Amino acid sequence: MSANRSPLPRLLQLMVLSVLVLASCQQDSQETAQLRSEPPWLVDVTSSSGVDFIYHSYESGSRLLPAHIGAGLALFDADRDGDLDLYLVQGNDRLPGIGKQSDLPNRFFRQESPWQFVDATAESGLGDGGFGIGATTGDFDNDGWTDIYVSNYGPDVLYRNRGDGTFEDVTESAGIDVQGFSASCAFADIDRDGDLDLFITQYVEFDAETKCTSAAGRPEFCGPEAFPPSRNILLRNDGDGTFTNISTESGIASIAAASLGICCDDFNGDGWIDFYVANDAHENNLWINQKDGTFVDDAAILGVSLNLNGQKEAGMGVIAADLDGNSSTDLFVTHLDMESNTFYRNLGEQMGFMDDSGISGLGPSSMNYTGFGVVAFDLELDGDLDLFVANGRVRSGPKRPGTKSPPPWDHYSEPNLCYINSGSGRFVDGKEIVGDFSSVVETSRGLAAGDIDGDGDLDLVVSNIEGPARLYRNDAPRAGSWLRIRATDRNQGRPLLGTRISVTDGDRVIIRTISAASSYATATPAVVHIGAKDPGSKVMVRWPSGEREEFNTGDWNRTIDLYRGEGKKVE
Amino acid sequence: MSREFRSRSRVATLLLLIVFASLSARNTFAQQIDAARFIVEGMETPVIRVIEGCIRRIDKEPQSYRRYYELAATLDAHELLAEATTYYQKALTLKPDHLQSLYNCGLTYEFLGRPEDAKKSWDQIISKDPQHPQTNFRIGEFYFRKGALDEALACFQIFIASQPDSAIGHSRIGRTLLQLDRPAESLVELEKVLQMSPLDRPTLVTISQALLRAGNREKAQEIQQQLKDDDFLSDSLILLDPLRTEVAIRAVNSTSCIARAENHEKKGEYASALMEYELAAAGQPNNARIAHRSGKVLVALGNSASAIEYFDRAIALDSTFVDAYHNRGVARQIAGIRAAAVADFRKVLELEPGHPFATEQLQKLGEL
Repeated sequence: MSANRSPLPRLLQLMVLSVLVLASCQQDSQETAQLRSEPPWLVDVTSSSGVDFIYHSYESGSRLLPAHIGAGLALFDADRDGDLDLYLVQGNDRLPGIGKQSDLPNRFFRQESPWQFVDATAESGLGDGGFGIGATTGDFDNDGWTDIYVSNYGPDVLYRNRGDGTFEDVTESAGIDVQGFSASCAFADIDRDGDLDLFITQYVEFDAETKCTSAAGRPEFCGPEAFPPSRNILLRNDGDGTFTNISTESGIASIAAASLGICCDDFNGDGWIDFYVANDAHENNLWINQKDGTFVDDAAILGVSLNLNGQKEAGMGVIAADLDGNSSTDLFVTHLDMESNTFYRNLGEQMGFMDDSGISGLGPSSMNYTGFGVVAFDLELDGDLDLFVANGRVRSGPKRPGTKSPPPWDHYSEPNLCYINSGSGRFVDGKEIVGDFSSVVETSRGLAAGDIDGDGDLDLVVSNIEGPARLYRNDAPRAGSWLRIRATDRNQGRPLLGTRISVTDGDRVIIRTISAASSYATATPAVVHIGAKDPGSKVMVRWPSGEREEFNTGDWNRTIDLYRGEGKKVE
Repeated sequence: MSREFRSRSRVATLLLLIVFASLSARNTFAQQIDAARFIVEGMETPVIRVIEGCIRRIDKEPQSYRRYYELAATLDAHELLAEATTYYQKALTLKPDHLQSLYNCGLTYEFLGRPEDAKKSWDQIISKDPQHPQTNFRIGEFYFRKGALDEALACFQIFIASQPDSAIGHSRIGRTLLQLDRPAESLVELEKVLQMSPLDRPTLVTISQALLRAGNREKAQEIQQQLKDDDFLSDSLILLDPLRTEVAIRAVNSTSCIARAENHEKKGEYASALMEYELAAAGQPNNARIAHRSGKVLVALGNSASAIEYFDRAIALDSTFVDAYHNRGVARQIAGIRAAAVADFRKVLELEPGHPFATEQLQKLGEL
């Protein structure tokens, strides 16, 4: 948040917001209220940031599927200077049937000072020229520097961070040979051996010869049902810089399901990392870790494979987060228009999940949109998670007013969605208060949240098809304090993905899990960011190894580092 | 220039003006309708012809609500939704109590993401016919999506009162009751669905959840194990949300869809063929042949799991359909469900002894 903003208007805004949220709870409980605020809480600061990236789909009338899948991004601290850098994934001309055009690589923007980025693609060595879909981050070699894995339509690439501002392509030496149509990926330590393994979702066996048309007979992008679904890939980190493909023996490859989104957390509370995979037109999977290198899909029995009507939906992006503040991790999946996004509320006590999209206010309001990227964070630091969804059609439709996309994408573009949490998992439409984020009409895909300017609240980055990647600064009035928590191992120096953090806010408990993978084909910063109105002084930590420790928070409104083994042991 | 020439020129100009005026008058409706709004580059010629035909008929009978309804339904079926609502409304201006326009317009608003407008349209039907089953179902869906569960339940119960054999009706009631935390009552409804569609996987999933909520963990785990083990379980087509089907069914000529599908199939354009077969099936939902052809196309697309669902549907509609058994056997074989494939090939031989392909398949599988 910039220093020249007066706190008084913020306070007034906050009061207005509180009244509106309260009013929305008191009126017809089924109505989705709409909040309003001037000035807007999210401001597009792209033009002055130095980030000048446009994702090119190379769509030339053929309507080839990879062109509309779009691409995600990675928001991470590549050089450990304390601020976030930005990696933007690019399409390419390497699709069958597309004439040769100039190669445009993925681009890496290093943040020099708040909101000032420089293009460091060439010097970093991160300019992969494959047909990019997404990226995920993690320190796979435990050297304390965050590495990056790029998923492509075509061969994927693993870049090792050398720690000097440059990266090296170690795909081959790491024993990685992933072809096909990769989408979202996630680093996680599945076997608690102290290194990060890698889950790669794979979409379909795309064939450029397969053509589809709309109901009006016009060429249209095929849906996933036009192609055989692919099987996902799980790579075990062998601890020596190489990976072994354990997709088959782990059970992950037993299902072919056109996967697009992934997130990881401990969904059954046994202390081991599980994976939730959002599939397009197939049942979703919840891969429960069996603690022996194998996984079993329990999505159906836990109620997260289908929606409330028992229907398969077009799963794209996904997040795992405690959206209703009951100290258990819920799931939220973005979908095609006419399906609504789905909120799976965790019922706790081994009762599984329940599709509460309608009751939460998240269902009907999303039915007119095709959601991809999704993030949940505490926009105004009031202790609950608000939701943000990046939208863009996959089927041509009427042009929406104000579209900024060039043809044919002007028929695919949609505004993004913002929902403000009323505190108990009921959400109200916040599009009028977030300004640019929800008023710009583009074909959005990737979405990441992170404190880009280091001012204590989270900002946003959106990637768009044939449109500029956009950076939004959070100017929301603050309702409470913030705490940014990095959880690491002092010896390894890397963020311990999968660490679960809990703090108190008055008489409620806020839980968050450190993860770099969620949203859609996007990597988010591996830190926990918490807002609280009545912040507590203790942090409970459950490390990926299962050990629990307690730390003191000290003062809030700062970043704290928690090191494994340096807290007070808790049984 | 001679006087005679000038005079002739004036006459010619006058004639031209008359012709122009006449043409202008004739084109009044076409201009009002502005076909260019929905006839766009890349659209298939047959679709354009159908739309143009509708416009010509409006020209001939500009006061006929039915002609506007036809245009609206045609535009609707071809996903020109915003334009469709304009002409539904025009039809309703001419005949305010035209139920089909009200109903379809509601569906189209729903597709356009305007559920409140959809409900207003359906409420007009209910004001005239409070028990109208399909409209009650749609309003029930509207409430269900919003989480207004008591209201949804009331609507679904009106629907099921007149459609007691509707699997989707019982399914919705069962799921609404579960959402209302009334698992015991939910189970009663879901069991009815299972009686109609015993292998429906989503229903079994919900039953297991209802059992858990009802405190019967043991039985829930039994079903969960069945869900893990049983390859025969699939999604029942009778439980698909009819919304899409209902929209597709309007103004669709199934015969022409089949013809287009066959044409696509011959050219190896399987995805397009599938889409046409699905449209055709929307118009003829009980046609086993269409379901069978969809299954074959899905096999060609490499999607044997979905293909099996379509062959299931074909067999459910015609239990003596030899080719459907045979092709389901092939699809199951591809999907690695060997025992089920063998069962299908044996069924083929039972229905048609000596069937050469089934015999060959069984020999290959070492079962003959």
